[in-house]
Amino acid sequence: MTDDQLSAEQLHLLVAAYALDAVDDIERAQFERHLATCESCQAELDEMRATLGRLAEADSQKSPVGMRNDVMARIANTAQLPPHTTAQPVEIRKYRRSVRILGAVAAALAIGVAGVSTYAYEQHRTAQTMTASAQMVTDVMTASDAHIKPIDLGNSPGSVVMSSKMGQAVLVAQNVPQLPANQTYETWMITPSGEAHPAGMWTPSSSGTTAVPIEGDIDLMHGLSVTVEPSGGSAQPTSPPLGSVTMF
Amino acid sequence: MTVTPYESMGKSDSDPDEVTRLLLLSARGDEAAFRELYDLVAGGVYGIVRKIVRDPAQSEEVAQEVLVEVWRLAARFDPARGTGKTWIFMLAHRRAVDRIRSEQSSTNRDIAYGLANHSPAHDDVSAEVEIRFEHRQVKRALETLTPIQRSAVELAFYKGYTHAEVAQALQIPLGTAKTRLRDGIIHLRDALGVTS
Repeated sequence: MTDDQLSAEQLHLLVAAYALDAVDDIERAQFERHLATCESCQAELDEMRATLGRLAEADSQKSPVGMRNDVMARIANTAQLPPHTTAQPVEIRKYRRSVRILGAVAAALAIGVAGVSTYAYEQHRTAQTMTASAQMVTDVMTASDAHIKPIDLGNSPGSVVMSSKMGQAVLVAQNVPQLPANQTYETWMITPSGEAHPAGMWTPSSSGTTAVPIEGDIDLMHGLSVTVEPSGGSAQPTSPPLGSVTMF
Repeated sequence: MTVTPYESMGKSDSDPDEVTRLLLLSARGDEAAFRELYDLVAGGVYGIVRKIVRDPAQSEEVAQEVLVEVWRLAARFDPARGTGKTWIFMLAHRRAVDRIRSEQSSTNRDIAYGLANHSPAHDDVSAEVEIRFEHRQVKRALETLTPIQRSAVELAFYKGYTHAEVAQALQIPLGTAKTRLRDGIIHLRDALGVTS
């Protein structure tokens, strides 16, 4: 599938495929965005899952000897994630907010204020493609539990900022070069088992700082990579990463 | 602890709300509750993973990952959206499908399934069926589907096909595949008397 936006009607039709995990990662991300605001899809999905749960249960088997001990030993060393707090966008006066954002971006990038000052402007520009995401970007960067890791994209220093409380993460990078029209940057979420899930395609801002939300379930995010892909994106990376980072 | 070759069958007649209750306790870090939860769901988790992944060693690996993830993500479970069992089994399904997809993407996946063998084609699904009540119920429910609905649902659920791959395998248009999956599950829901 491509990054073409599916219509709401097409998205409704995806409920069953989504419930069956019969979607690719791009469709999953698109559907989940739709699902967040569509109550009828949520209700239908819950019923479908209850049905498929019955199918799964019908295949119960004896679990292997020793598995319980292994699992109990592993959970004793496994931290639990906090519940999702639904981060409602809070209306804060623009000036105040931009001061907080500047602080967060400076921390994220560990760069001077001059480089940062383009951010507020860039945020408007990227908002064209990010719409609701711009708010999210600032919320993640100012979250009380923001977890920041540096990532080096070739000659472009950047950071990944992640908030477990919000269940969201953002990639911030400076001076990322533009690509020819037939190529795009694509972010990949690397799961604990080492699989790469598409986490969004993006175009760098023309100057200064680029900030892009990371799509997908960040509970699965063990690391992050960025590659250059043919425009329209790929289901799996097709080129070596420009940069990668492990979050933990 | 009783010494039997197997630890857990997923005590099938347990109250589903018991799983939900134990999952909510586990979410607060209660390891004893998680151990009880394990005994109620490990058989189901391992069973569905094994059905999809097939290789026993890999299935155990995935099942373990799922159970650890249940512990790790327990606080994200929302009892308003369904039972604990449903949440756990759907997580298991997702991880099993992830596993075979990541394997198959490197081995040039063969989806030349073809219409030719599509009608009773999933006898392997039913052949492995043990004679158990819930199993029989599900089998019977699957039999009420039209052949295309049944193949579509089975390819997606048990073999991890995407809807695009289902369409290709059954040689039907993409839109039809989506519709058949949807009709199929709705039929199953009614046949199994599922209410949410």
